[in-house]
Amino acid sequence: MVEKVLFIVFAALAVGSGVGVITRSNIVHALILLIFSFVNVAAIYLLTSAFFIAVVQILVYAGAILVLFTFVVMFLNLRQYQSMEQLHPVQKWVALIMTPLVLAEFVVVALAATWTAVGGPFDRETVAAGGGNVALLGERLFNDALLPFEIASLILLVAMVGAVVLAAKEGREFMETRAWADTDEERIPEFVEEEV
Amino acid sequence: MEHEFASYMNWIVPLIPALPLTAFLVTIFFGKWFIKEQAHWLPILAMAAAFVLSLLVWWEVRQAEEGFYVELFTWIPVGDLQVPLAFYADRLSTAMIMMVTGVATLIFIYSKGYMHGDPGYYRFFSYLSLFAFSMLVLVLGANYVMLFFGWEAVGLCSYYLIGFYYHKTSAAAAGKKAFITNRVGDFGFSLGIFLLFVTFGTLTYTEVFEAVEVEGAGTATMTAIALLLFMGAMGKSAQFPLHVWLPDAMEGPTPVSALIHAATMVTAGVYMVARSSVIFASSETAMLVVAGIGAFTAIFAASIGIAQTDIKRVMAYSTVSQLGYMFMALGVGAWIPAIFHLITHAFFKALLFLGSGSVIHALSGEQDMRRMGGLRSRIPYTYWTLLSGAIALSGIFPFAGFWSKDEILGITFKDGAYIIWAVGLVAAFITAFYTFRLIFMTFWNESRMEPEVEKHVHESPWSMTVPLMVLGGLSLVGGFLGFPPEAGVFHHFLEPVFEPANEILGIHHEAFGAIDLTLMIVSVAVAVSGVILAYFFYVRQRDLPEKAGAAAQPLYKAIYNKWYIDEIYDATVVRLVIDGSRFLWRSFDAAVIDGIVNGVGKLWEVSGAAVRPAQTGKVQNYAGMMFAGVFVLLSAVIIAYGL
Amino acid sequence: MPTPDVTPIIPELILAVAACLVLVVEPFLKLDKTAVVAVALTGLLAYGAAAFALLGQDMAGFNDMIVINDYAIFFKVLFAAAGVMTVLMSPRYLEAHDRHLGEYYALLLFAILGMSVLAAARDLMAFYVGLELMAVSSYLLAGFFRYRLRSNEAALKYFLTGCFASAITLYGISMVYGFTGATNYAEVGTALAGGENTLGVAFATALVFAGMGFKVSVAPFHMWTPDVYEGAPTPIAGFFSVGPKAAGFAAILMMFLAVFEASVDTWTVIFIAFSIFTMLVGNLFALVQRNLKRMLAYSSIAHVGYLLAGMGAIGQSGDLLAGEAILLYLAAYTFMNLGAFGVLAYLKTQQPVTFDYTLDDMAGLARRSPWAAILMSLFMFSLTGIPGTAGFIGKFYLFNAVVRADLVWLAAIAVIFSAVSAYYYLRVMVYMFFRESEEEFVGGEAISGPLAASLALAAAGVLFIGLVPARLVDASATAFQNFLGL
Repeated sequence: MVEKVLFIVFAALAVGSGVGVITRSNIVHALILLIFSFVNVAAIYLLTSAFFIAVVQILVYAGAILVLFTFVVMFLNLRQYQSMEQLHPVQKWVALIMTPLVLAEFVVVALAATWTAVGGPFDRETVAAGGGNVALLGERLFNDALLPFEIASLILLVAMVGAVVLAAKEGREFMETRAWADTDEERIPEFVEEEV
Repeated sequence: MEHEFASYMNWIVPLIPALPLTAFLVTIFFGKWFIKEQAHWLPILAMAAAFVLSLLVWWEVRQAEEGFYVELFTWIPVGDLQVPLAFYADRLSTAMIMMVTGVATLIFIYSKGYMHGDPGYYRFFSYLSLFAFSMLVLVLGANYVMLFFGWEAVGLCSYYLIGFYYHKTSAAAAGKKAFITNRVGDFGFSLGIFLLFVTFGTLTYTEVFEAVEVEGAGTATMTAIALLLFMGAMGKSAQFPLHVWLPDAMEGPTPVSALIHAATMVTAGVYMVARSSVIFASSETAMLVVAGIGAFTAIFAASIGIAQTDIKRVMAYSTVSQLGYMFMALGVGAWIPAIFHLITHAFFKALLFLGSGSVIHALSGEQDMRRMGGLRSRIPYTYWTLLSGAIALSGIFPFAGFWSKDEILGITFKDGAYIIWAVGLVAAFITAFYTFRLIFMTFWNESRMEPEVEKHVHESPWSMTVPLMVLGGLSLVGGFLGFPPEAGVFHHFLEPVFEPANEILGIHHEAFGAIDLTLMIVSVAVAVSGVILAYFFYVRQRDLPEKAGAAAQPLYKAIYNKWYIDEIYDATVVRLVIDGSRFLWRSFDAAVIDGIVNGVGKLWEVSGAAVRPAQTGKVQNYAGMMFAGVFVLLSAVIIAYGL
Repeated sequence: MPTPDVTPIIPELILAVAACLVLVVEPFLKLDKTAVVAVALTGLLAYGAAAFALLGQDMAGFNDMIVINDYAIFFKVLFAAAGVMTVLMSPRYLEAHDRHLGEYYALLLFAILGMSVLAAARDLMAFYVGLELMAVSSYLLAGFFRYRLRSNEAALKYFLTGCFASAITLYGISMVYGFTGATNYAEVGTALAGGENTLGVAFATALVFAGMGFKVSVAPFHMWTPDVYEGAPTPIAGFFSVGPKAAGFAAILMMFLAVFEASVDTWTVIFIAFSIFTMLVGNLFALVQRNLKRMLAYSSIAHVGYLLAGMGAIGQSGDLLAGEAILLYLAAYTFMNLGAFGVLAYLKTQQPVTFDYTLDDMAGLARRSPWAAILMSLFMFSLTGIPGTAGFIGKFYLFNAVVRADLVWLAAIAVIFSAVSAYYYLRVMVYMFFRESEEEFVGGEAISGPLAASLALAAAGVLFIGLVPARLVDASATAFQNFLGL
């Protein structure tokens, strides 16, 4: 019973702050709400006794990634979004009507279904018997799901390479001798700024 | 009883299209750097060899009733359906390949002289070879897929060759027009083949025709198939209202006009309808449409021919008109006369085009008949051969055109299609008129040439005149293949091919009788009167200024007065006819038909443009659209499962 | 813990090593990137060769997450061919844009690796990571010209809508897991066949369809396609139009036949409905495009519509023929579409400043570079589906399969649409052969060797499939039957 109440509280907070993330026009506020949402999700993991995942959630997502985000946003001084409502007057209304309907459909289907996998193969006893959270997770990750794990590492490598490709500064000499093939295209403002 | 074909047939039949293909590949790859000015040898030799092989094939095929079928390999295997890369040499395709290879050889030789010194010399010969290959695949293919392949390939070559002088804007525009008009026809054609495939589950000729005869399909289906196929024929063979591209196609070099736009490619539609005779015979409506459109095109195009001043455009309208004749014949079930006319027409129309080319060559590129005249003695070989072609086209005894055209008219009459017969007869009259108008304006009377041009008038080289003479000879004697009418060598040769179709139609043979003789005399009389009328208008009247110069003598006063009356006559009746013809050409042909052809394209463009605003370029809209798609999809699922 | 048997992923391992090698070799080079190109090319060839050598194998590995069999090998060889052509057409193009970096090839190889996993995956997790690897690499490749607005825009749009699509797919997959507690295709398929949760399964089917529909650009999830093709480097746009699409269909075939067998009635209807809509949208928009890259983008959407009709035929009849036809079509499409993009890439290297991929830029091409014009007409002919070319064989088999599934009306719609498509494909030829260029053409450099090789490969593929399709037909038949475990 207590668990159920706690779950409802955390879930409500997570969803509520999630809604806040996409409605705030101040981007820093939005990011802080996102961190808050992640923390609440971590709390839900705790409730299901998935301690390791909960810690990882807080350390990696709420901690490292989002703090980095916040720093970047603050450095770049991007405080305000352009108000999107003005750009998409029609779509706003369509979205307002359609989104709740889709949500309702999800709910209807979820309620009608039998969720065999709920609870999963791991209850507290098996976890304890299997050597605890970390050991079991490690086994699953590095044995059963070794291949997806390795491929996921490639995805991270690609992301890193991509970051370099998209963001690395090139030498001044290279920039000056550049032939701008598409004359009709403007240069990107960011680049113009760099030159100043 | 199955006839045993000699085993060498297995390789000579595929070799016939393979020869020009080889010539094409070698010439296009090595032409620019290695062969250059000698580019004509290989294509000509390949074509001549193909002709010899065709004769061999003929020798074999004439001994058997059924055709020879050779399968190279299975091109498309789909379960129990096989579309093989196979050739089918029956009597019909043998007649066609002999004509195609024969005429092509002559035209290749002619091109050597005509295209001499052109910067694209090797390119020209390679395209011509590619064309010959495609045309041979078209007629030799054993199924509709190969027919369609050849169909598209000859089209492609023709666009390239029409646009050969692409630096001329008009040539480029003409290529484009041919291209777009043919799209309309091919659209129907491909649907027709598809429907055929869906209905009978096969595309091999023999199987399809057997299925049509044995099982058949609903009349509506057969009509739909036949009409869709005919739509393709209308595009390729320039039948009203898809004929507009052919006159413009004359922008291409003259050998191209002769080969592609007179003798071979444009007759592909006729061949296809004759090949599918069983299918067409199964639908009365389709037959009626074919006959109607053919007859209308015959007279319509002929009437336009009167007003043209460009020597090649006269020929072009004449070709359209003659093709109309062929379809008219097909439409009344006169299959053999249609093919007969196709062959004789190939001889004399190729001759006429090559002759015109020779004239143009002699006059340093001049094509306007108003600036010709008096060439009779200057280029005698050209004149005499051209004259023989003109007589053949007019249908005067005993030239080739007489036999085939008269046979078509005879059959339509005996078939009871009097209206079509009358239309054909009038068209024959007009044909004779404009043909001799061309002869008189070009060769007779005084010279109206530009002095600069006149200085350079010269007879064409042997490579051009020899093919002319050969074709002239063929125009003279070719008709005797069909002698006696309806029972000639040619008819006996082709008879087995069309037996099934004739059975469906219930056509039986009638002996040559008094009525045929009467009809012959009528049509010759009509043709001759056309010639006389042309003489009257374009020779006698033209003499007028000269004679008026010497008008001092009272003897000529009367004549002068007589001619004065003629002037009035000319101003009223003739002007009316000619202006009417010109009006028809300008307003109807150019405005309405072109408008429709372009309009079909526009229709799609407009409907496309109407939806374009949906692509806004805003990523939010894209996501919104995706979301809407998901929403609709999910809602549909939920509704379908009754929740 | 037993050491896993790596045989099923040998080709992928080769590819991963080659991609890393590319990254390692690059810093040691100055301006000449030949070595990088060579490494990438060798890697791709070795990948294809390794896959080919494994032909006839049929084994699963890594906890049954990935398999190697003729089906997977068919796609691996196809991806290798697409990859080789893309790599060959890139160096000169990138040089013309001053952005010849080794990372380009590495990303391309990683994208192919993702595709390869996607086609061989037998587990929802492997499927998803393969999908993401392909997607992330694609986003980056689309935005590779970071100094160009169009390229940036392309990457951003691709990324945003792509994330959305991934989320949708993932939701569908998570529902499936929730119903069955399994991620292995076979297990999931068996569990779902129990007949429980019909609505839930249908719902998940629809979600996965929508997500995958995005990857292969099914209307209305196609909106990113023209913008991305237009903005991405041309060889990459060509690659996008064939590679991820083939991989997407490889996965779709497997997912819907193995996992969602239970909801076959539902997805048959979905595929048929979306097929018609996709053909309509693709063809209609393609008609009005004056930019060739956009035209090819919309036309690729139209081709997806035909392929969806094939999927509908499989669902309708359970006929093997349609599956084989889809494989065949994808192979034919790879060569002809990549070839068309290759010609565009070549033209761009010829006139980096003036050529802007519009129809008007094609005017008079037949005179300026007759070979390019002839090749382009070959590819356009093939895309139209003229006999003698690969496109005809593809369409013939596909429509035939649709007819066999008693969907004659659907086949008729497809035929009519492909007849309409002749208008915009052949219009390119009209411009090349019958229009004079308004501007005076300044002679460019001769075609670079690799680019010529790439075009020759594409043309040879188109003609080979078009004239002697029997081998490929057999290959796709074996591959598909093998995949069904027959």
